[in-house]
Amino acid sequence: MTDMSLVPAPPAPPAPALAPALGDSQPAAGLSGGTRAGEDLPIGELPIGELPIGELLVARGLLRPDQLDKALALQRKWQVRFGDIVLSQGMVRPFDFYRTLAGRFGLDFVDLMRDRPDPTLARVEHREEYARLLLLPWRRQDGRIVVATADPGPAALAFAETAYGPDAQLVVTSKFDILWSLQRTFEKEYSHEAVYGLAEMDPENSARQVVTPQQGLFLYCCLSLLLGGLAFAPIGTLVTLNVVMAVFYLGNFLLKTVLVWFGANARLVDRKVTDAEVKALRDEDLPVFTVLVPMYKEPEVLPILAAALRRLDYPMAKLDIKLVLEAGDRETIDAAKSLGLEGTFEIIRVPASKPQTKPKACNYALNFARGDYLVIFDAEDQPEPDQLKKVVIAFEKAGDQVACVQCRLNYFNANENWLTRMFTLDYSLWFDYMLPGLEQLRIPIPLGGTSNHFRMDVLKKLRSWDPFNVTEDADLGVRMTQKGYRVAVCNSTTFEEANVSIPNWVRQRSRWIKGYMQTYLVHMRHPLNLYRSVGPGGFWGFQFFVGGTMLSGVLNPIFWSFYAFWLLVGGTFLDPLFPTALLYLSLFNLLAGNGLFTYLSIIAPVKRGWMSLAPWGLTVAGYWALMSVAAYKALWQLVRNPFYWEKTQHGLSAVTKQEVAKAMASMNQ
Amino acid sequence: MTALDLAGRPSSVPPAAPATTGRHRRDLLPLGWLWFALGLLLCAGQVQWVLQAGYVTDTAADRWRTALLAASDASAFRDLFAITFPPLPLMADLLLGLLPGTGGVPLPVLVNVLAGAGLAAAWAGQIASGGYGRAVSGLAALLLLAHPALQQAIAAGDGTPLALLALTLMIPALIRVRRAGDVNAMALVGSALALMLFSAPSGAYLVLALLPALVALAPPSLMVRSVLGVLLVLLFPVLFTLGGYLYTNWIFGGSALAFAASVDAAIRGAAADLGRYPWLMLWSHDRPAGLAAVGLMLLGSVPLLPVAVARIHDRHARWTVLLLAASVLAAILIASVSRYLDHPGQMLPYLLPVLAMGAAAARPARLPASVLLLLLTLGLRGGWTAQDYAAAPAGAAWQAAMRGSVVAESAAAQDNAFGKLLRGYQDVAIDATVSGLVVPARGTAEGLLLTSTDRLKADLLAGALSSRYVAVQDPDTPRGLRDRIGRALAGVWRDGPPGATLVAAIGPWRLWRLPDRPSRP
Repeated sequence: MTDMSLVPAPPAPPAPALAPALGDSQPAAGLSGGTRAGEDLPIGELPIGELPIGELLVARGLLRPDQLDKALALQRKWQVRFGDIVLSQGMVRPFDFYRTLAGRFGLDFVDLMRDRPDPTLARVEHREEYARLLLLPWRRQDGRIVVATADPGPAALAFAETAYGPDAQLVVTSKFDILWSLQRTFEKEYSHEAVYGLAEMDPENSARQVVTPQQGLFLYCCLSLLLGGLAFAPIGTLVTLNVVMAVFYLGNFLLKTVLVWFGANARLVDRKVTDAEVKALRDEDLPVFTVLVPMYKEPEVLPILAAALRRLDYPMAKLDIKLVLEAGDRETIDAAKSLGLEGTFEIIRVPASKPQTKPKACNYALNFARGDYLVIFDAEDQPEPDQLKKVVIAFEKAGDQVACVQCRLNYFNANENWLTRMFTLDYSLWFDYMLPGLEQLRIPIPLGGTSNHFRMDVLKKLRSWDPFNVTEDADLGVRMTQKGYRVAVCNSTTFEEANVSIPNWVRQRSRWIKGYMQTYLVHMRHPLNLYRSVGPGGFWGFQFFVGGTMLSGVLNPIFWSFYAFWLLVGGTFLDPLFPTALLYLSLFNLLAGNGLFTYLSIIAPVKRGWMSLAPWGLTVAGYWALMSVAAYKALWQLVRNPFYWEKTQHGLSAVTKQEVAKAMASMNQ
Repeated sequence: MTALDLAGRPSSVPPAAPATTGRHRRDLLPLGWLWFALGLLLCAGQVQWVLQAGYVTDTAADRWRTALLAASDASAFRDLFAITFPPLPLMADLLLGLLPGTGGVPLPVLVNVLAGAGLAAAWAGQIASGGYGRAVSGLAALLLLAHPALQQAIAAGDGTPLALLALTLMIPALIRVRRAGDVNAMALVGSALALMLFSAPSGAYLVLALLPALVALAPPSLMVRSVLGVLLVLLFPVLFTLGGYLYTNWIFGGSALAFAASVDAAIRGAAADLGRYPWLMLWSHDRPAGLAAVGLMLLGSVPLLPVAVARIHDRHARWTVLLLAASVLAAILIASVSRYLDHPGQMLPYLLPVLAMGAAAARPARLPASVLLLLLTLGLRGGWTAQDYAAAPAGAAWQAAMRGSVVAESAAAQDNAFGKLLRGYQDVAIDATVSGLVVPARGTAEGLLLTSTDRLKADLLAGALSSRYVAVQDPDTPRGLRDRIGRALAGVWRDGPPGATLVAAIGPWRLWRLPDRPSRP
């Protein structure tokens, strides 16, 4: 207990319009510790407790009158609390705001960074309330519990009185201090829950166990059967295997053709949410949106994201933006600070623990999220400015069953080299055609890495992301469908940086394929349950879309090798493996399958009018070869190191450097 | 494609409510079946009538025989699958041949009749989507279907009706491509081009003629970004299927151009018999006059075309219809000059889908239903006259058959009789590829030892047959000259294999029974 004396002031509830909001509250440099309300401020003679907070700020010289007018105008328009406005707009420093707020209510202001809370007072079972109400029991003083809060309203007082007795006392602190102290106090619990939350509560859906004993037995039986067959009836076994593969390829390309056909429907897909609908939205009706940006050692692309987030056409006061950084990632934390981002965005520092994966970081940050909806963006993402509004409309139109809206991803450096062109064709096909097709056919949608927008309540109910799955997004999309929810897609694009380097691309792709393997194994633990929960279309769609995507990369080189060998050597040695009907099926697969997939790559850029990319689709076979390399790497890693997160290095692109420069320029303006 | 789309609704106008569209489609569906059924009756009636008069073209006989051969033996299928051009009619024949009750039915004609019925339903739907009443649309579709050029094509048993189905799919897609660069429409155009190319030789000519038109029909907004990209999107299906076809020729036929032999033979055959083809003799060489003749035939056969083009308000639809009509004309000229086309009437059916879409795009306000039906009726008469002008033998025979004259040729009758005779015999060695109507008349190739089998190949190499019977043709006839058994075993037609006894002789055909052997494989 410090020797600081606190004047017990009657906690008069503030007027609702003046109730402080949950903006961001990083303390400024040189911040002093606990101070008496009004101390060092030239307002001794002002009638504290009567002036509205805005006028108090003006009177103290912390806010200009024109800023006050602007803030009040925004408040009327957005229908949010005044504090949210001035903090989100950067009109007032959080420290100044909260100190003034304390004075407004005659409460003391404490700096939890200097005068740390007594860790024995906080209760684990109250963690959620602490984060939601932005409060934390600070210290015991004169037999009473003093509760520090960044939102000294009736709710905080009621909670304090209920939890700590009717004589509990409030003091004011900044939001940053609350969140920071919460993380420090409950680091172990938050961390444990982030890692093991799903595995403990819903182990059947966790990839913590790569292969279940039953699956192991099944695989063992299959392998035994195969080896036995090869030993006693080699031709029959190989023909059977060949038939299975041929049917798999046929199903794979037929499904993808149907998906593209449905996904190409412009009226249903590309005009799902119109500009007119976006314009018709009223700011006051918009919900609070949490934006999570998990990053790791990516300081170089941070300006792109910061600029893009500031360009969002959404009331800043209704954005709860969190940069989710690893505690040891000093370079990114420092970069964020040097850009002044801590004034607008919250920085969540995730303590080190294994597995060190993006989903674990997101799970950790989720404890502090306060939005009705939540979206994940990557560090170099540039979402279209109206994306959040489109998503709100998409949710409204889709109904309660839809728990997630996936926006499209594409690249801002498409024309940089062959790989970026092919990657762009790949993403265009995936997000512009196939995912909309999956949505229309009610097949589980494996979510893409970013720009997936969730309903917060459902996300938390489903125990959020699986930290043991390296494509946690894909897994979550399938899990949502299994649990009776749906995933929708939306016609808004987030632009990212396409990989410019092949080794970097292989690392990234191998992680994705490994994640698909994990996802497939998790959801195929009980095939009958999957069948019942997603229906026959969803079940077979899952087999061919998720299973097919990973398996084709593994199988292709085998068939290419056979084919190349046959072309070179000729002869009839393969004839026994291809009875007449199978021969024609295989020939059809060879011609129609390759032709079709090449054609899909050619038409992929048409929706966006990027016709100059279409001819590059002819070279897609080279891209398939790279995918096979990644698939084998993924298979190897699944066995050796299933939870290892292959980090994708961003910022390598020359275009990205230009984008960073542009972003820096826009931020300086 | 909805009615509003066809009417050229400005893109800013919101689309019709889905419920309305759904109801509209549901309403149209039973009527679609009605027009299909009526189209089926019309085509089947016409075909039945001319078949009774003995009208079977060489094309139909070849296609029918090929289908039966391919269905009977894996090796025959493999050979024919690769080298038959166009391959799609063969596929359709084979599929239909799998249906019970199709034995003895001329499969190519059956396929064409079904395709004709499909055309009636599709055209009725398209015309109705332009705003015409259901009855008017159906009647107009049936009038289009009844056009002599199309009916002759259906009876002739070539792949033109299948190519017309592809063109019918393609035209509305082409308008959507022109208007909005719609992805599905572009893919549909590409696929339809591939289908046309492999449905009929005339379709291949039309694809050739359409190539320059595609540049003008592609959406300008996309063309300015990349001409190559747009053309690739439109043409890749054709190019890839062509490549795939050449590949299968190489795999199964030994050469990527194995199919060309039959195409070349068809053209050479026609050229060798020029005297019977007034169009090839006269008009195909005199281009201005030929062009004028085609123009007059066109005006007479499809008087609706210029009227519809003039009445279409939507510039995208008008431009598309105009260019497609010009492409058909260009295809006729190219095919005539290359001496493939023995009469323009053979390709006039390609204007019929253009007419259907043209009428729909013109809409009743600018092209009243009465005018539409009147012009279509006039087209029937004009088409009949045009078909008669400088007619090729097949065309003349069809007209004669339609008038009730018997047109069966003696060779066909002999093939027919010999084929019926063979129904009672099994294990008969025969070169079926040059057997005319024998196999169709027999009803199946099961029980025949074909030249595609390893067994007969080995026998011919060894110079001794292992079958119970052998059927050969007179080597002095054109077909007999090409009979591989007769060529491999000199004198087999005249004297039979050693120890064989003559079972039957009908026309050029002889059936020999080989002596029994103790150890026949």
